[in-house]
Amino acid sequence: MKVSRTKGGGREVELAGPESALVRQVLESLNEAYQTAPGELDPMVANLWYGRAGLKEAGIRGEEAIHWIEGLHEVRLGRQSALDRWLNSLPTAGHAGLWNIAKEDLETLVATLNDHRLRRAGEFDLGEGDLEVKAMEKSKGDKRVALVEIHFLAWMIELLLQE
Amino acid sequence: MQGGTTTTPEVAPGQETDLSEAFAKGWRVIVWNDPVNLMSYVVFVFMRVLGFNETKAQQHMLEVHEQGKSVVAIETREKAEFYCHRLQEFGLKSTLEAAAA
Repeated sequence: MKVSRTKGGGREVELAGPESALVRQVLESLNEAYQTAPGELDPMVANLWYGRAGLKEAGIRGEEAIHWIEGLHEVRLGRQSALDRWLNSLPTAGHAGLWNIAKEDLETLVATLNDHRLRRAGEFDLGEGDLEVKAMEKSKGDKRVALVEIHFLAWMIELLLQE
Repeated sequence: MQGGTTTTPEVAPGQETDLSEAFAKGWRVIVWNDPVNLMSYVVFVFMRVLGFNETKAQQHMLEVHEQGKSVVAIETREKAEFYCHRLQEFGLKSTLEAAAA
């Protein structure tokens, strides 16, 4: 993967075939997860995306707390059109190619990719130790897949923010 | 003056405290450490949401990383809620706390 800044301040992402396949899979699964009501998500994921920690202590209870969570869900639902746009502009499934991100989409893209990292970490209840590269090498099965995604997206976010 | 309308709001006894609490900059926005969010991402979010320059964003990010939390704003209730919500929209773990607490 290679990322370069475009003249307009956007990003041009050069992806290898497996990388573009992975990004497509990530965006498609996020598309579905964003449409899922907070209460129907995996509780560990819901806790990371729509956590209620601290609301009660801040006096945000009942209807107000519901409104707070709904607001967080609406923001994620609002990323739908951007997700569709990115999926349409990604290289054909599994093929290498260039992926162009407009400057105005950059903030949302980075937040969206980060959401996937949070989601995968939540699904496997991953802590600091689990997230070390050494731990990924020792892990197996679905957990290993989750860790590969988490580390790949970390690399992608770093490159998008650096340029 | 006869026929005039009064523009001074009437405040019922006991409401003064609620109003002054709401408008006083008495609410802390706290960001908590978590193992997933990248340091560079946290800096980026602080700059976007809170309008910090890079140096200030780095300082607060390091405080979160090393001390487990950082008070990133002390604001009125409304503004503190706004910042806290925005930070959560980006996946950061943030809470509100009364400054006197």
